[in-house]
Amino acid sequence: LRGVIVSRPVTIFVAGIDEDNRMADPLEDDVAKQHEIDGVTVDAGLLQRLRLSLDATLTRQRSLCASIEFDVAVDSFRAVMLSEGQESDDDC
Amino acid sequence: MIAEVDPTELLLLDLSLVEIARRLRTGEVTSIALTAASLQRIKSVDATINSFIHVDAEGAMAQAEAADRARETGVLLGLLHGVPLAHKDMFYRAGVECTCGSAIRRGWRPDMTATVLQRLDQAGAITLGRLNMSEFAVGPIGLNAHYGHTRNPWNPKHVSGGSSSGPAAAVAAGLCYGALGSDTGASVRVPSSACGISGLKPTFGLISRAGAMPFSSSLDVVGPLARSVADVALMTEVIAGADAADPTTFDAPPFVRPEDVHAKKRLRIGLPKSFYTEDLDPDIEQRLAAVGEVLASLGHEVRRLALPGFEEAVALYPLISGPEVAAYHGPWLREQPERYSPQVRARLVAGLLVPATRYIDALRRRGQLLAEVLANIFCEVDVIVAPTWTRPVPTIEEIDVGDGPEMMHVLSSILRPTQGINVLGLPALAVPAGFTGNGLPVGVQMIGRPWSDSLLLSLGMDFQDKTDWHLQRPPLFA
Repeated sequence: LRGVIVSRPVTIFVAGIDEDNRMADPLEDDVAKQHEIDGVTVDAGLLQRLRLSLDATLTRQRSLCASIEFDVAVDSFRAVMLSEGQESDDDC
Repeated sequence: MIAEVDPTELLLLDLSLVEIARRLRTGEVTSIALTAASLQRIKSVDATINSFIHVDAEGAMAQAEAADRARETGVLLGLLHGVPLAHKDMFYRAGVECTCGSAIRRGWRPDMTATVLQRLDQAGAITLGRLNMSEFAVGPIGLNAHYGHTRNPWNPKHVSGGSSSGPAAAVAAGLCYGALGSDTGASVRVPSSACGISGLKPTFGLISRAGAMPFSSSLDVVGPLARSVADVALMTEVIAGADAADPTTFDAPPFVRPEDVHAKKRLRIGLPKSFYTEDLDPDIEQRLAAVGEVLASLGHEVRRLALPGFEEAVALYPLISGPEVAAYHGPWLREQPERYSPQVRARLVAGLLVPATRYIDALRRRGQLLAEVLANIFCEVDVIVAPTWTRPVPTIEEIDVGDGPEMMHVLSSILRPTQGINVLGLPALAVPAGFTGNGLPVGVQMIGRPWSDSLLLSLGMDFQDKTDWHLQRPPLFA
């Protein structure tokens, strides 16, 4: 196996390429029973379940929210909240 | 040493917080008598429900004696002078152990006192002890592997709900008049409803979180639990307001006493015809409709409406809470992972897997989504009334799935009715609304626009003037 590093901002997975030149899922690697994520050791079975759940969450969020408009406000949530606090009930 | 308690004084424990505070102010009852009665009831029933992690009998009696002495000299400390309360074990008090329901924090003594505890102290409240909770407030069920599960006072085979499990069970069983909890996705409303009491998840920014254990700082709020909405309102009045130690409270509009709310005579109230209706238990659907009828009888306009945006708010929740809680727990996850229970550790690890880009996307989307919900829903109605649980409160045996394959599905299904409200930062008031066929309580949440906490409390008080669900007591402790 040739090692390939796939990195995410807070996550590092060590993957491999098998004899047929396909990317191997480290979770299917019999040798890898545990993985380290940001210094935290995680059981491979649990990691697989969590990743499946997260994949579903990310897909769901993407499908619900097609685009996020660029917002100049550093904290648009807070701006909307405080704006609401200054409005009267009859504004809409 | 606690004096013998006159049995008639135990009956005082069934009075409301508002009423007992009035009697304490006028001297009709002493704090010593009340505190002794509370400690007596804790001693006799808490072995069944396990709502306390620690009871500070001597400290509480000393506080009660001081309160009575002060009143005798004409000094009234505040609105809660001499009232026995107890709080979720996640509010820091300098020099006092704060376990956060965990093994990791067992024996830890903070060097600061939470702003909300300072405000309750200044108002004269008595602290009976520290209440049980889900480990690090992670989990809406109320199970705890380190301090034992809190059990539902209505039937100890059933869960209390969490993560403010001890506060809900203790208040429902009449062990204290009110309690502080926290709510990051469910933790005031779900246990309040499961135990048949009232609880407020306030608008994000209304109540200081300084000195409260963080879970997800973008979503965390502190909220009071008590048997009636009027009691919840009184506690809110004491603890709400800007605090230099918590910047999220800056610029928040001042809290207005519900009695002073100039509410519209006729509110527009929406019952959901989407989102909450999926897999809704027929008993709970019936209770929700009955609540709508009561509100209509009060002169409000009640109608069904769709809730666009709520599904997306739920989808954003794990992308915000996951990385925030995982970051806070990172050092412990690396250095002493074995000290977490398996389910809590699994849920914390899940946060490590969320890419930073998606976390930031979720935070950016949050403000836009709130604006859309305000424009699309809260221009149509003033208040949404929705279930807090979509199924009857289960037994511990039915729902204790550990960190097994069912974990994420089971927990997500319990959190779904409530967690999106935290993403939107809206206030939501949980009130009792009857019972399901298994004899366990049903609650609904009244959800309003930002800063409408007082309006919700006012509506809740009117609702409880017309209903008696909040006056019911668990048969074990009646």
